[in-house]
Amino acid sequence: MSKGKKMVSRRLLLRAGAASLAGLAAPAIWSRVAAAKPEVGEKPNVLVCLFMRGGVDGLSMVVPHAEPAYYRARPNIAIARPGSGSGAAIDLDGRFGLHPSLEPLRALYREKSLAVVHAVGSPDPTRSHFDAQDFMETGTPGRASTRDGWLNRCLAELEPGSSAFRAVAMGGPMPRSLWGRAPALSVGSIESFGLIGPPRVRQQLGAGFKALYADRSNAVERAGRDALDAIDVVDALDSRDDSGSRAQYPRQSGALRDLARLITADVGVELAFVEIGGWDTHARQGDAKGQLANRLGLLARGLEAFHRDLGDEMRRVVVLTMSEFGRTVAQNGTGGTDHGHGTAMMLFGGAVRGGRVYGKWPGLEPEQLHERRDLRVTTDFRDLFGEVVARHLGVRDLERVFPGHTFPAAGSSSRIGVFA
Amino acid sequence: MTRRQSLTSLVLRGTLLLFGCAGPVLGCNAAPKKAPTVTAAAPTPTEAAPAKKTDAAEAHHLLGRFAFGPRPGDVERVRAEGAEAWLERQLAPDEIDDAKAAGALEPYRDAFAPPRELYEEFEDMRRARRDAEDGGKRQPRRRMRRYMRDLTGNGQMSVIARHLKSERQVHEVMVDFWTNHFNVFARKGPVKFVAIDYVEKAIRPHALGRFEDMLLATARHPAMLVYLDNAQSVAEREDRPGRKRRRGLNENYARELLELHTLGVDGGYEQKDIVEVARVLTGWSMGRPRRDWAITGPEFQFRARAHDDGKKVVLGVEFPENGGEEEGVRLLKMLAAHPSTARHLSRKLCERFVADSPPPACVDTLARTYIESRGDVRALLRAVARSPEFWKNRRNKLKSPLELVLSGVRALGGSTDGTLGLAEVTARLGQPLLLQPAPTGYPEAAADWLGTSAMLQRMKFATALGAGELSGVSLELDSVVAPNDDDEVLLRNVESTLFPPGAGARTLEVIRSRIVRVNEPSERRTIALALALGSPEFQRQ
Repeated sequence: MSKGKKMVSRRLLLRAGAASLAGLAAPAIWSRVAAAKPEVGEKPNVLVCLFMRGGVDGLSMVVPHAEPAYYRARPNIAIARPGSGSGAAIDLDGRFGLHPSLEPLRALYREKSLAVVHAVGSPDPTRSHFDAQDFMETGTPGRASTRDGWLNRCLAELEPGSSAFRAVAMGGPMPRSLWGRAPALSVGSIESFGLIGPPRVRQQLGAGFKALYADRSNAVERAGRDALDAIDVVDALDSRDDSGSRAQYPRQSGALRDLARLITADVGVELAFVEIGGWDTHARQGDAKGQLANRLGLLARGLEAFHRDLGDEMRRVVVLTMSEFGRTVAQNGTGGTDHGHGTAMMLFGGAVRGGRVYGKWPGLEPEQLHERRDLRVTTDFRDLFGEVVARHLGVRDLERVFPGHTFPAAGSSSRIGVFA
Repeated sequence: MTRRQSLTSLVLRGTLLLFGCAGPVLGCNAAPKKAPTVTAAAPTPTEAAPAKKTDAAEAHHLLGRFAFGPRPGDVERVRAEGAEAWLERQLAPDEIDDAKAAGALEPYRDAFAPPRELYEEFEDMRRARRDAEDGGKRQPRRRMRRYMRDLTGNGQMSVIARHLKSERQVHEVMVDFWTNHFNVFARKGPVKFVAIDYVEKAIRPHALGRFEDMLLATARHPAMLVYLDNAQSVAEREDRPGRKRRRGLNENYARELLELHTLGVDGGYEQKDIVEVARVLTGWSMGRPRRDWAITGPEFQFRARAHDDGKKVVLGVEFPENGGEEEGVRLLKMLAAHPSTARHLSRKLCERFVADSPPPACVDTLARTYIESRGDVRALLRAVARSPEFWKNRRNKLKSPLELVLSGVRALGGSTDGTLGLAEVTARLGQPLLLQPAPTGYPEAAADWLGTSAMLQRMKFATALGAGELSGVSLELDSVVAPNDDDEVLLRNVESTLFPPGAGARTLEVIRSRIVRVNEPSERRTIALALALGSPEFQRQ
């Protein structure tokens, strides 16, 4: 209904933006035009945030195989140098390599879809999962009392829209990133989304609640009505034939599979949040095999299936992985790693300039480390998130999404430049 | 108008006093005593609370704000007693027999085990898990997971069961209010072992007492010391060359103490005050979990070596050198007595009890009462109940998820069933108790609770409860609303149970239009109750 209207205004705005930007010295990071972002039909661009809770070991996920210090610090759990037989890292650029379990993502990197940003993280030094996740999700490191999440503030900065599915959390409760006043939806799973009760009761309840939540001028009723309309949308999806799905997802990747269905069904998703745990590998982390390898394998197969499932739609979708911190460079006494600082994040899709490892590499020699034990952070996660939402979603006022943060100016060498 | 002027002058005087006084403001409160007394400031009887007669709508309103909603028969009981007498009785909770609540707590008594024991049990299990992992067994891992779930779940249920079943409802409402005001997060490190101890020792004894006592109790409790990091805040020293200092001043608690617990964000302090407050409170710490807890349990400790001995100045007031632990006490008392604290707390109380955008007159009255009563919570609650704004603002507040769950279950005369079900239900609706990570606590304004999925969860909750199948609740639905073939009888029963003063015409009309289409009696009842409990009207109080 209002979708057509919305999209017209989106394109109009884009044109207006192009015109006005031509005459203005606006920082290029704020210009969605400069991104040459593909405009696919009338569908909105989508950002999928994949939160790896627990602090992923960025040094085994994207291995700095040219660093002798890496192998010195990890006699038992290092990922072998590329070319050293089975279980070796998959070389990316002569300096870094993917964990062998990330094999499904190798093709994405080669096709220049997948990019890696290394030594990224929070300026706040906390090693508490709780604080670090909180800071990453509120987008205000060091400031604990921020009420809302950065994705919710981001939603408020996008063009107004009417879909109840604009911001969705898949597979779990509403994450801190999406808390706030802009309406967000958590969808446990498509199967379980809806009213409950035997069909006859449910039918009467659906009609009854719609009659009770009819007055859109009233905030409570409007919110209830949005929920009821969302149920109708999901019910329609549910009854649709699913056999056309092009991809085989791992059993545990239901959230990604459901999300792909929502995106391809064009129900108006713009921001999505998915989380995957199991990264807190204090003991018996393993190398090419073991605990971490299993989790990374699951992640890679899920993402590869998602990428395949979306096909051409990936032109309007960017997937961004994140984790609250990295882990110690050295292995500990129980064959694992402890809470550290900098880590690696991956992104692919949209206009991402893949096939490269971004970020200033700080090195792994003891004097190059954060507090002589952890990978230093050379890229503030807000710079990465900011670049993504500015370039992919067209957010203009990054200060409203990340209050208190100063973003690098256009042309500055500290810009990441991960978008074309 | 005159009231506001007198308050302004009072606030000014308070501020001046603060800077002029060595001790806390309320220790030298000659001026505030001259201000009009509460009784004099109270509205005239005609516009005020009904002194003797209380009608059903008034009783319902009172029970929605000063209690977690009426149980069957409560509205009549309050009418018979009168609103004022009911409140007075509630303000002396120790004199109200509460055997039922004690019974409801029984299944969750593990929550009240001494934190030291909870911690030791956890450590034993962790050791067992570590040993077992080397042998590749999974059993201890599962046991550990169950232990963690029960630890938090029993704690949450100990709170919910009492909110639900206690006769001391005003006390319970204030326990909720203050627990939220002084929020801690049970998943931050060892807070999980002390979260209930915190509610029991720092909040509950003071919930109807003096704010200053509660502020001191929270400041010293390990839950707060860990949650806002003061336990590890250490004086910055330019000491011992060559030795790497890895810890220093942590401003976290100091900032939230000023912004959230006392003065409020516009309370007139600066970043430099935050640093000074943090310096005053260096050394306010506790036994270290792994080293001391097994011996002493988690207890407040003042660590003189971590304390900053230098001179500090907070809000213009000097704290001389070598003030030790005592200067922290002096600081907290000063903050508790500050006029900005009076306003900040008054505003929050009015938000909770009156309206999301609190009427200024109500905030003024409470702020004055706060100063005059030296932060006596009972005096504040009396002032709320006497304010015309309280009685005018009805059904304008959205129930929080906790309030919705409690009011729904209470209206149907339900009880907890010994499981962790209701804690999970409350969490699913968006308000897991003791698990709000942000120090702001859960929000009070409706706008923050109106998420799309939150509304869907409310409707699902209404359906499960209306069917008598809500997990965690034991309920004798037939004795409250019996199934009935007659549409009007069923409708009237649902109305008198859930909306004692009467439901809105639209709510009734919608329910009628749905039950007439179904013949099966228990389904008819489920539909009627679900729509009523899930209606916009029942979301408000």
